[in-house]
Amino acid sequence: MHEEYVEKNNLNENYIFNLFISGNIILSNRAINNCKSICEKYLFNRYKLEIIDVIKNPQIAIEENIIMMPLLIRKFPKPELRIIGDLSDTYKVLNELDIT
Amino acid sequence: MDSENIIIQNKRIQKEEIHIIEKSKTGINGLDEITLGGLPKNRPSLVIGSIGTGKSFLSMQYILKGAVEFNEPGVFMTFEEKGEELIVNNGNLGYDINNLLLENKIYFEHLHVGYNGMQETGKYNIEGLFVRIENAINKINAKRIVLDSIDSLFANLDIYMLRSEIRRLFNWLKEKNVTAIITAEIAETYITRLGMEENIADCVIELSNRLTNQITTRRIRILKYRGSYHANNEYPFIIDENGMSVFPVISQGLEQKISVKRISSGIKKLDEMLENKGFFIGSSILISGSAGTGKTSVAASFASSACTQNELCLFCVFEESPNQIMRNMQSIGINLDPFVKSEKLHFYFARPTLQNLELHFMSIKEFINRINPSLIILDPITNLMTEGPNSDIRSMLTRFVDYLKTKQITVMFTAAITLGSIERNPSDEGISSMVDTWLMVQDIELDGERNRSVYVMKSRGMEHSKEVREFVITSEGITLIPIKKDANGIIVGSKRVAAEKKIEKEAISTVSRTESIETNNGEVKDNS
Repeated sequence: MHEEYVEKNNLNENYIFNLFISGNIILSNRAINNCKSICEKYLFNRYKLEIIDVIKNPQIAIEENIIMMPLLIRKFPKPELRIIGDLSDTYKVLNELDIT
Repeated sequence: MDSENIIIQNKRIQKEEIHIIEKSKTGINGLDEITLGGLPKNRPSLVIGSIGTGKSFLSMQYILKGAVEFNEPGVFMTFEEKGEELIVNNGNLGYDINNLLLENKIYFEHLHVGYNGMQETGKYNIEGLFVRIENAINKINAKRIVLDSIDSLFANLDIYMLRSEIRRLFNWLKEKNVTAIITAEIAETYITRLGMEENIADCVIELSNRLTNQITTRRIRILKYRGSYHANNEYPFIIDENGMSVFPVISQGLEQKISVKRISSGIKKLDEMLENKGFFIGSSILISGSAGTGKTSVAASFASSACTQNELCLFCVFEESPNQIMRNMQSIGINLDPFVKSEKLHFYFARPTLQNLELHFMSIKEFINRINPSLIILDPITNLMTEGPNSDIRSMLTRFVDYLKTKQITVMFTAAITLGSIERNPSDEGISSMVDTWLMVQDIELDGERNRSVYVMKSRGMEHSKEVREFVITSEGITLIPIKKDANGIIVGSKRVAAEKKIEKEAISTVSRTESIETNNGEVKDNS
């Protein structure tokens, strides 16, 4: 289930996110659920979320220089923003990722 | 009951013996000796020390030596420098790094922690690091891994999360069948705050850098080694183009070979005082005396005599330059020049203040390993002693002499000390305990004249002369003359010469008288 690909309305993407998860199932699941619910609630039809399991693709951990996890990266719009943790603080997530 | 207990105890001991810890050799000079074989195999070790103490260097050596000497591929993961800089910054020991990388013998990876303005919400961990470590290990089938240094993690992240995560990391590493070195900077608050690294690492090595008298000395100490004996002391080490070397030290005394062979001192009369044979080969000889008593001359005649007998000699000078010594010795009929040309005699010249004492000894040792001499002269040792506290110097000298003894190299050092100074300066006594033969050159001031006398203060293992002799340096070299006495006391110097002349004259006159008597007798006979 980690390699889930959630896509809503390809034509009208305002936000692209990568969520990196691995290992710790509880933490990962919590991050996935929190991320999805935030996106659905505040960015309905305006986002693309890719969930990447680093264990299955370790090379990406090097490329993205990942140490702390879970990690959410806002790939678009630029600049790239990063936020770590299980994303349990919705307000902070919105604030830091500059979601309006 | 008792016997049963004993049996149980014995069984327990046997069990423990089976679990003797396996070790992973570092290949670093001396480090394997003080750890009695290397780091604990397949377990994490912690190397701590403040900035610039050589943590990264040690770790890099461990990886490189592992790859080249022990055929164990190694991963070097750094939080601080990028791979390329690392190779340039750290001694590559002359190994072809690129080739090692191509052959998958080594692998570098840069871990960058400090994202700008990175935020956190809720719980997180350092799983990414685990994934990358595992990936790196699998890539080259690594047996060794270095994490250098984990400090940058602490600079950015929540300390309580890290506490458990690092513990998890150490435990996880144990399962990976790799020998790991994790480096960390040491700050007092740091260790007390995190204490746990020391608790979970099987071996903790501390590196430090100490400044005394404007000369820095690097030191290494094994703080802890779970399940193994180790040397407890702090040992000096150096980092140079040959890599890291810890001054090897331990229990060399046991391995010393003892020789009964003798080597001439180069001064016939001195040999006479030493059972007519001279010094033992592989022994240590001290010549002490105040300034200008001819210590260097004795050393030079020893060197020249050894060279004549085809022995290799290393002459370490700390006061005069080699050329000056050669010129000066020429004036007393000792010609060292041909020996230098035929490479029988080598000079090591360094100002004592150039570097610390360890470094001097290390350079001399390197020289020794290169030319393999059978005789070493240190002239004068007291000059070196200005560098650093006495106790340090004594122990270093002792270790150095021990080292020379294991190699069966005869060592002669000169020291500007006098009998009186021993009471003032107890460290000189320390020197005396490590020398086998001690020659004392002293001044005799008598009738407005300064002359020298010499005696053998001690000479282990031989029946040496207890006589005080007059020490005379002429243009033909050094000679020792038995001191004469008359009713007024001892006769030395010009008085002795005068006395000798007088005796000669008397002898001549007696000879001529007897001759004349004989001729007279003849005449008488003829006449009759």
